[in-house]
Parts: sequence; C-alpha cells; structure tokens
Amino acid sequence: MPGWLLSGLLLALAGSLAIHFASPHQRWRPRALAAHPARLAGAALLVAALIALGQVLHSVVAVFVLLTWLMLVFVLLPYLGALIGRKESR
Amino acid sequence: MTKTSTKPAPIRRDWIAKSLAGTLLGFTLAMGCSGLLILATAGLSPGTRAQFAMWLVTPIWLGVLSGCFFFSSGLRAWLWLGGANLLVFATLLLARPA
Amino acid sequence: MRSDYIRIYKTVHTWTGILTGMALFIAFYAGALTVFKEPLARWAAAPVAALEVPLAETPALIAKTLAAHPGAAKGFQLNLKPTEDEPARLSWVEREEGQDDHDTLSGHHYSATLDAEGNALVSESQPSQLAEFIDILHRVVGLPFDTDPNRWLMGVVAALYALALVSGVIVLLPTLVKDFFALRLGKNLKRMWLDAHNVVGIISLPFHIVMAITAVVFAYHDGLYALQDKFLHNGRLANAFNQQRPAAKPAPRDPADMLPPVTLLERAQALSPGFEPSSLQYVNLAGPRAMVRVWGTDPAALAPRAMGGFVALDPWSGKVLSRDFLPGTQDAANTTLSSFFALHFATFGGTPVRWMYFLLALAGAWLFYSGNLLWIESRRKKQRQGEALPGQRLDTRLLASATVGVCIGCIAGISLTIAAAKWLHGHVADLNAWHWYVYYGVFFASLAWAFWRGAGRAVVPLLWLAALSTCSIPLTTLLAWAVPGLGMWANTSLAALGVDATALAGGFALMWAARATARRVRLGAEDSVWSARKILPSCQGLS
Repeated sequence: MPGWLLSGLLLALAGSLAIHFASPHQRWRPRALAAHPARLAGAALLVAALIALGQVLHSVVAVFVLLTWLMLVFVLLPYLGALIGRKESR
Repeated sequence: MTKTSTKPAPIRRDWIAKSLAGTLLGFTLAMGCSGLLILATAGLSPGTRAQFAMWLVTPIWLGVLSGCFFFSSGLRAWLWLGGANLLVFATLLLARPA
Repeated sequence: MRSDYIRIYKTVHTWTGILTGMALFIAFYAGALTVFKEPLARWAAAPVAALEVPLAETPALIAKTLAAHPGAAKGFQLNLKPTEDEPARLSWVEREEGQDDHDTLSGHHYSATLDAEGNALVSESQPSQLAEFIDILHRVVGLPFDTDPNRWLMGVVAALYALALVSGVIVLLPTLVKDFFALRLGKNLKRMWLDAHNVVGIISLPFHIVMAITAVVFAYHDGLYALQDKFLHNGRLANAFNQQRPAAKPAPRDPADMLPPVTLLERAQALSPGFEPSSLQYVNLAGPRAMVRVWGTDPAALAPRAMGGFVALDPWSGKVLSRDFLPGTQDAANTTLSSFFALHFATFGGTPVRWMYFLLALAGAWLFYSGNLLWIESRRKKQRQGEALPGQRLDTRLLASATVGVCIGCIAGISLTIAAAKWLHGHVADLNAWHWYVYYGVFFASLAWAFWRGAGRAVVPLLWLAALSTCSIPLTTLLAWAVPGLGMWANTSLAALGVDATALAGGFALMWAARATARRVRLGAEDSVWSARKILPSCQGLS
C-alpha cells in the first residue's frame, strides 16, 4: 500500500515540476524549460501517477488524492521558487 | 423580451435589487430544481434521492447569486430569474404525480 | 468580457472579502488543526490507569454494565483500539432530554471495565474537550458555541465566501493564463501581494469551492430538509430515511443474548475485506430499532463521516440493517454523497491526505490574510518626492489593526489554550471552561493591543507571542517528561508526538515571520500602515 501511494505522489511531484518549470514565471531555474515537451512529459507523469495511485485506491479516491496533491504542490512551487530566486539574485 | 438597441447599454449596478434577486429567486429556483431532480430520479431509494435533492440546492443557489451581477439591471435580474422560477415550478406542477 | 463586468465583480470581491476574511481565517486555521483532531485529543488526554478487558470478555462487560447502569442501553461505544483519549474498552455519554444534537460538550461521560473479580467497574470522567473546542471554533467561525444561530451566521459567511471565490475568478479571468504561477517579488508591493493572493486562490480553487458549498450545506441542511419535506416530499421524509421500520413492536430482548462483538466484527469484515473496524456503537438496545454500528475505515476507499463509515447490524441476529455507509462497498449514488463529506473532512487517502488538507487549509488562511493586506496596500497613500509623509487613511489603519489582532491573536490563543491543557490540569476545577477563558483572553487582548498600538507597532510583538505560544506546546511536553513532579504528562504515541513536532515547526515558521516582519516595519516604506518608525525628519531620506 504505501509503496504505490508513495510512487504515485512522487510521479505526480515530478510531473508538476516539469509543468511548473515550463512556465515563464518559474523562478527555480535560470531559464524555463521548452514549453511543449516539458508540459507533455509532465502530463504523461501525471497519468502515470494516477495509474500508480489506482493500484491501491478506488479510482474515485485516486482522482481525489491526485487533485489534492496537485493543488498543494502547485501552490507551494511558486512560493519556493520565489525563495530560491531571491537567494540567487542576492 | 424585445431587443431595444444594438449598442450595449451601460450596466446598472443596482446592488440591492440584484443581490435580493440572486438570494431570494436564486433560492426558490434552487428548490424548484431540487423538486425536478426528485421527479427525475425515481429509480433511487427515497433516502438517497432526498439527500441528492438537498445537496443540489446550495450549488444552484450560490451559482445564481454569484452570477446575478451579470444582469444589466436589477429589473432584468428579477424578470429573468422570475421567469426561470415560473418555468421550473410550472414544470414541477405539471409533471407531478397527483 | 466587458471591463464593466470586471469592475462590478471587483466590488463584489472586495466587499465579500473584507466582510468575511477574518472570520474565514479563524475557520481555516482552526479547521487545519481539526484535521488532526484525534492526535490533538490524544496529546491532551491525561493518562489514566485503565484495566484492559480482552475483546473475548466484552459480552460479560456489556451485560454487567447494562445491569448496573440501564441508562447506557440508549447508546454506548466499544473501543477496539484503546487510545490515550479513549482508554476504556466501554464508554458512553448520557445527555439531557431534548438537547441539541450539535451540542457536543455537555453530558456525562462514563466508562466501564471489569475488575479482578469480574465485576463491572463504572466511573465518570471529564475528558479533555480541547480538540472539540478547536473544532467548534472551526465550525462556527470563532464563536464559542455550536448553536443554531451561530451556525446560520457561519452559513452566511460561507455563502459570501462562495461569492468571493466566483467574483475573484471573474476579476482574474483576463490575466489568468498570462499570470499563472506568477509570484513577482520586488518594489511593487501591491503586485507582490496580488500575486501571492492569486496563486493560492486560483490553484486551490477546487478545494475552496468544495469547502464553501459543504459549509453552507452543513449550516442549513436541517432547514433545507424541513422545507423540502413540506413542499417536495409531502411530509414523507422521515419514512424515506428510516426504511427498515419493524411492522409490530417486538418484545424487548435480553442484552445478554446479543452476539459477541467478535462475531459482529466477523460479520462486518465478511461484507468488505478491506474494512478496518475501530469501534462498535450500540444504539437503542431497549427500543424497537436496536442496532450496532461497526465503525471503521477502508484505506482504499473514502469514508462518509469524519470518524469513518459504518455498517449497521442487528446485535442479536447479526442481520445487516444498512450498509449504505460502509466504506469500500458503497454503490455509485452513496459514494457520490459520501464524497461530499469526505472532501470536506479529508477522510480519504489516509494520513498523507490529512497532511495535504492541513497545508491547504493553512494556505487558505493565508489567502484571507493576504487578501486583507492587499486591500490595505491598494489604498496606501504614497509619499511624493520632497513632500511631507502623508497620513494613512483611517479605514486602512483600522483594518490593518483588526487583521493582525484577529489573525495572530487566534493563532496565539489556540496555541496557549492547547498548552493550558497540561499546565492547568489538576489546578482548576473546570479545565474545559478554562480552555475558553485562555483562548478568548489571549484573542481579545491581542485585538485590543493591535488597536491600541496600531498595526505597525503591534504586529511584531504579536507574531513573537504567537511563535512562543506555539513553541510552548512541545516545550510543555519536554518539561513534563523531564520533571515528572510537575504533575504533567508526555504522551509518547506517534500521534501525540506528531502534535509536538508540528507545533515546533509552526513555532519556528512564526519566528521567521516575526523576524521578516520586524525588518519590514523597521526598514520598509514609511508611508505605510506597517511602518513602526516615528516620523523623524532625519529618517525621511532613507527610504
């Protein structure tokens, strides 16, 4: 149980990072990733995450868990990016 | 309603009229819609049906309340929402088993 | 979209936000803690020496307890996994006739075990209501009692909150795609607060919509059902909810003949292999609709209520009375209905999702706090080159004081009232009343201080107060462990230590906020309600 759940959440984290890094507003890296390939890869990782979560959770629960996790990660990424970006610009 | 002009008229604020229309008529509309849902879901067990009907009210009510400031005036908000209410409750009366 | 609409909805957003922001801050902060209500209750529970009764001996425990205390037949609970806050195998609450269902505070708590000779040993206890108190702050936006009028007021707040969400999205629509993920720090403070506010509001919008709608439903469901019963169900609603009503009144049955709990658990388990029972709730054993609810959770499924889900069995025959609320085996319709509850209570996905909800709720509290900061920043009177420092508008100064007083006062009040659960235990007659006194004392003192000193000069001391109050939670536990003579205790279950660890992290975060804010009030722009500097001619050239 925890193995699939954890891998699902990590896959979703990786997908979120790929999508976030493709945004022109990201502050994590000196330069944003190329938009289309990064977003495509991100979406593929999110699908993989859903499949992993679906191994141990009912499908509706897997969708809820993924959405909740995505909301949290996508809220935190810009804030962490701002912290990182500020440190680097000093 | 007739089209009065081609140029978009300025939108009246009419805060009180619109808010009241959204709150009151939005609520009655939501209740009417929940009545329609009860009619449409005869296949469900009565307890389940009643719960769905209760849950339906709030999203419709809040949706109408949130959207009612798009009406170009308070009067229009009352007329359109009043009309929608009439329609829903007329359907409810006609479709209701005696 | 016409810019006129944007302007109208901006007004809607501003007013709904200002009216409800601080109430929602309290609801979300207390709600974040309520996600971990059980660990909080376990942290706060004083250790008692409970005689363990093996599950196999519970039929005797039930029969002897009912013989000695017939009042317990109305409803009692059998705990499968004793915890710090529910150490006894069997417990029940006796409530007054006609008491409000939502009143979870009054009533007499009893627990029963068997002594060495096999006699029922019944004792009355006053369990800590700390966790319930925080839950009540959450349920009725910071008011002290969960009564009908307070809940209706919370319903109004939640409806305005829904209006604020929709209007906020409409205002943002023209720049939604362009500014997605943007958080631009820099000279333009209004831009920064706007980004910081929007990032949370837009990305966690589904979470907030769920919270707004469910909160309105929780406030008004009784009224909605009553109206629908009258106009849409022709008064048949009570029948719809109680279908398995017996035709004739059966003869009263002997509780001693009930199936043993072990057998009942096997029946429940057979219905759903993934179901993990946690307690058995016996209801109305003397009445015609006697039943036992086997409560529990299923790690793979969502649970319809905050404490899980249940299957209702006949305690004598083991016949299934209702499995509508049994996690994992619900039909599509009941799963849908249950998901409305699960999405509010975070009763799916186990502990990881609880942490996500905890953080999303804190982010929500930040959303309302930053909304107020944005309102203030937008109305700031800027100092022009070579001109004297302008006075800030009265309304911005008042809102700034109210915002820091209410929000930081709420954090400090909750933290201190948590710590008080250990400090005041055994020293005051009614500890549960003292949780109210401590919270509201700190809350109103913070508010008064914020208005007296002004936001700029009050905010840093208040943040330090909140930081130290929050750190006092783990420090109290540490002290209790190091100096047992103080009469306090350190519960060492993972849940209880988790409370200490979280409070420590929260305390450090608040310290960081206090230091950052101190820098701002000292070095930031002087033409701001947040400046703590006295207006001195020599300082004016600095900023």
